[in-house]
Amino acid sequence: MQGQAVQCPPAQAESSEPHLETQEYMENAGAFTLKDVSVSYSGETAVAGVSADLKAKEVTALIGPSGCGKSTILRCLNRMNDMFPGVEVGGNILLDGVDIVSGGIDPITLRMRVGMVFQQPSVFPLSIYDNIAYGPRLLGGKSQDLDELVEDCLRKAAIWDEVKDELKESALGLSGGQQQRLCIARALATKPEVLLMDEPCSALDPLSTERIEDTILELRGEMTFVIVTHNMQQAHRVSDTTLFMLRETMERPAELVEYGPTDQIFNDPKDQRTADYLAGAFG
Amino acid sequence: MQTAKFQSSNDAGVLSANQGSVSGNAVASSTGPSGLPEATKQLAKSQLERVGKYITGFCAALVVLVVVSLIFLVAQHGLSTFFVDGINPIAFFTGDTWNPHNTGADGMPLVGALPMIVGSFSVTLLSCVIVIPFALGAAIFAVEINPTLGSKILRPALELLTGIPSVVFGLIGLMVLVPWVRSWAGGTGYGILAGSLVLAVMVLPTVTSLAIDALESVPATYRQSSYALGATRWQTIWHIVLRAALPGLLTAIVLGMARAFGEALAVQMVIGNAAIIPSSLTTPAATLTSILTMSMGNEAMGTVYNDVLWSLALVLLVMSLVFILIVHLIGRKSVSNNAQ
Ligand SMILES: Nc1ncnc2c1ncn2[C@@H]1O[C@H](COP(=O)(O)OP(=O)(O)OP(=O)(O)O)[C@@H](O)[C@H]1O
Ligand SMILES: [Mg+2]
Repeated sequence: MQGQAVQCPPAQAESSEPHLETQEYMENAGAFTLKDVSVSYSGETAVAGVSADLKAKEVTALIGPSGCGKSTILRCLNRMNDMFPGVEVGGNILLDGVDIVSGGIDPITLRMRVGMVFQQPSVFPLSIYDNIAYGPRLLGGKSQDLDELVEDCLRKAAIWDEVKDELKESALGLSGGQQQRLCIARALATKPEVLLMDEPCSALDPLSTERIEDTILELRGEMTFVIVTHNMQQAHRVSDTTLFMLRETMERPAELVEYGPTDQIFNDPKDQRTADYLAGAFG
Repeated sequence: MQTAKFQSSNDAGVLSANQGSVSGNAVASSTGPSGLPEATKQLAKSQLERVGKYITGFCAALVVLVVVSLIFLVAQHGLSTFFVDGINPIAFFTGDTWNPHNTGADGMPLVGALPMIVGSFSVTLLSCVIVIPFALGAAIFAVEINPTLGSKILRPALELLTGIPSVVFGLIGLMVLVPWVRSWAGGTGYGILAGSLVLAVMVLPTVTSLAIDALESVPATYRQSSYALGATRWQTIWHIVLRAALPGLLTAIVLGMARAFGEALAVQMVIGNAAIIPSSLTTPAATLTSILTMSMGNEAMGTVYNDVLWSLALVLLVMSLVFILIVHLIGRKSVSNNAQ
């Protein structure tokens, strides 16, 4: 596991230790360990050799130019890649020590534990309430508990005050920013240990973006976040750890150039390519 | 020439209603400094546009004229039954004896249309009940379960089915279905059941194709979001896809019903054409369409019998308008839901 070419942050060794020690901690931590992960679409390898630790209850940012496989890696973490025909995932992805690639956990259970928010807000054509209640109801949630849960999730996603009087209205009537926060609330309703976010703010105005960042920072510590973003300032603001990915030529698959604590990646990148990318992205 | 050009560019501006005369002036001033050939070209262009406007306008007017005169013609003859021949509409809609050549106790021809109305609605509803599960099942398979098979086999099969003339369905019904019904129900085998089965096969491709379109129009993001919340495929189909596609599915069913309600030939071949209120699904009955096609050629224009047949046609016409209205209402409702 340690035989990887990428930079290992010093904290990594400690963070992986609890997995080996207490079973308790392993159960509900929400930590991912990627070992030599590769993904191919219809036989063509898009990403290869990604090994990293995504720490529990922290925010990890995935950055890199378009097409470098950020979404691909993110979709591996809740097996959403299963939905595309011809996708093959190699290597090991451990969620709290259990390999999810080789089917140590079934995708349905996995997705209850690992929620996802997509780039484009995609609310169901149901009422605001039913959008949130959808996940819990799949598990057979009782209605009196649901009211509380719905409120709780909407509060956490910082949208309760705006919608509390129109819970029965169609969610399609909300603005884009509100819809995205509703999607976050909906994802929270299944009480996931991990929340994956694929460019959650790319369709949003600065104010909505700020509120979502606030939400992430507030919930950090309660659950693990993995966020893909093109916004370097955002990665800097919200994340503890940053992964920089790059696909140098189309002939070769994308790779993980380096990863480490966000401050170190942004202020003192070890790899020249990271420095170049950040300089370009900032300029 | 200069005036002519002004004239023409104004005309071009007026052509598109939302531009108005302001843009017409704008065109005029922008082409103002250009030379004479430019102006001629402009003139020819606007003449072409005017000719185009007249030709397409004429076509549109013709379509409207045909529709209006058709409705007028059917209504005029159909209403003569009541306003000229003095038949009581209540007797027409609720009378259960159809024998227009004879008169009843009140001295009025026996023109009770209830048997045909009941027959038409029965075959329509029953065929609809038969079709819905199959159409929905096939559509779900083709869109959600196996799109490859769906587009490679099911779609072509549906297209083929749609193209088969209704007389072929009637023939198969007559040769296969009627004897089959007879074999277990006794009697002649003609009746509502045979008619409904034939209609069900006939409208199946229409309803299935429209249902497929409805399911396909559900955004993939809905499905992905549902899966991402830990839903299974069937939970996703049931709670999200079918729900989101509901207006389209209802439209598919209503259009299928409209087709079943209006179908004449195939039904006439298997229903038995007895203008009595059917006592069971396997005794001979009649529909509005089957009585119309059977009798229309035999009665002289202007007789009460002929007028009453027009009244049946009017009922058919009104019903098809109702079906179209329902489809529009469904469409408007789903649009307002989405736009909310
Ligand atoms: N469903 C798919 N089928 C085939 N190839 C795919 C699919 N999804 C992604 N790819 C390929 O995988 C590579 C990585 O794509 P991915 O979407 O993960 O990049 P990304 O980093 O998320 O890019 P962006 O920033 O533009 O979202 C690309 O070369 C892309 O062509
Ligand atoms: Mg992406």
